[in-house]
Amino acid sequence: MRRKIILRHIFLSIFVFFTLIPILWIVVISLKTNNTVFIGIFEFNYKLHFENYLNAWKSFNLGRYFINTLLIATSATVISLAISSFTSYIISRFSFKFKNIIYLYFILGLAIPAYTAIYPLFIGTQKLHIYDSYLTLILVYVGWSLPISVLIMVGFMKNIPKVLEDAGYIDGCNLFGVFTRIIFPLSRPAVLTVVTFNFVLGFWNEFILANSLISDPLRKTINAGLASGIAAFSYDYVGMSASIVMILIPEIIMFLIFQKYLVSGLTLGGVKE
Amino acid sequence: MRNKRFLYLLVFPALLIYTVTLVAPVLAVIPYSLYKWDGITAARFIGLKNFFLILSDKVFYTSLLNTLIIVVVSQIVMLPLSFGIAVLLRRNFRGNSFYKTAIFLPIIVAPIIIALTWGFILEPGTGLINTVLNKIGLSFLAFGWLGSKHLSIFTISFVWVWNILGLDMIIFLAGMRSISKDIFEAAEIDGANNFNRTFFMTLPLVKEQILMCLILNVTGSVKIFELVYFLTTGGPAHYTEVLSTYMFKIGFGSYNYGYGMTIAFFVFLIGLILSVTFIKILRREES
Repeated sequence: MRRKIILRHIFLSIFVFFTLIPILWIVVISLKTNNTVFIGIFEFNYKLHFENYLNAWKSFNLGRYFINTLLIATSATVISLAISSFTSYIISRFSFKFKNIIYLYFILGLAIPAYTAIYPLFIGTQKLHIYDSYLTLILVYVGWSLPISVLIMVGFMKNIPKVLEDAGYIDGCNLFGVFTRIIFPLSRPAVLTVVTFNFVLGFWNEFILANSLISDPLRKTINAGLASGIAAFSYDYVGMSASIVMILIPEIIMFLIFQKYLVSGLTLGGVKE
Repeated sequence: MRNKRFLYLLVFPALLIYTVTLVAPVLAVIPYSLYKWDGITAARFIGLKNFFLILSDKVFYTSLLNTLIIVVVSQIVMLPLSFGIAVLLRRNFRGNSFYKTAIFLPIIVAPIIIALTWGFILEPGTGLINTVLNKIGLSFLAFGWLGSKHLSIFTISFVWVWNILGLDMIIFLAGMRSISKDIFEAAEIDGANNFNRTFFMTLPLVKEQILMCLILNVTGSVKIFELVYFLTTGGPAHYTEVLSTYMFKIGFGSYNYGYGMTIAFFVFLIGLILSVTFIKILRREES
């Protein structure tokens, strides 16, 4: 039994090592200099160049990109949450004609890759003079986030006991009051799951829509900004890797905070407690 | 308040945003694919020519095949591996949550970051893997991971496995947790060993989870763009081209928007089939 436990730890440790090695390696590179980056990779007694981070921060315009991304991702998350939760409430708690068709219509977008829409969006927004606009990108993000949000929310809300809703009506709440005071607070687990999914996996990490709809270098998101930096800094390995590490840090922090909700979202049915 | 028409008004904003930003652009590729258009001069109506073109386009078939290779390879590697790891992590023991968190972590990393990071590792001359292999005298194994004709798409599949393996593991773990402990205890008393319990009891009981992983993995594979674009740009000579990168290059690279949208239309059909399958699985799970 003891041997088995040790074997299990050895196997898992090796696996975790291979999982984390790319991230560790990028940290190692980011602390070297461009001249020494690829020689003597097994000598670890070199001087650590923390100034790489400061230089990269300035030359890759990271601060600006972080603010842009934060602004876009936060706005899109809030709008998406408001719209999807309220719509899911109507779909899950009332019966009306075409209700199921409307629900199906929303979730049919689930598996359609966003890149299939970039040319019509690129051309259409330019024709309508709403290209290069944060509002456009935010609304596009909201639209593309609706299938997964509605799926998770409806799945959760339809299991809320009817009695709780009725109590609200008896106390004199109208439809909106019941939503804001009863259904929405009770949907906390689903809300947090949707927020995590959209903010972290959806908007913060998104590349192709942001890249196609924003061309102004100063207005780009972090991923699109990094992509345009690749060409400009192609031989600045340490600068590139220091930037990558700085982009990774908030991602890892968000992961550690929201891990639980990612899990419940991935197991869709799991959002039921 | 019981006026049903009022309810349509309430779902209207969501319907409008969804239709304008997702449905309309996705469907707009159909009329556009009937034109030849460079984005500058006037579009020229060419009927179904783009559709004939796609049927004889070798690179399109390569892209389709490569997307399929990523789907198949990643399933073959990912499902057994993530199931095995979930079995190891099923019981609570010290260090359990550390392992789980570490293996799940890559899911959060932005795809472009994954591509750039792995670029430093797979680079044939200076990357970590080949440097290590050369140092320990295994130079004959130091392949051109990203530059060779047949190997590169498998390298990309491997990176993709690294990226989302934790997702499958989490789904399996959730499934295993819902299996009642009594069954295992009964089996243990009846003398079933560990191997038998894993393969003849756990495996059949997580059938639904396997299906869920399968559909999520396939959907994710079709959505891959940055991973390929920033690792190999579809090269060398289109050998690692996938549907997304090919579509991207035809429009934004070669300014042939009509043809680009013909490819987009094919991907849309694939996505629609996957969505319908997904919804069917969910429906079945509910009932």
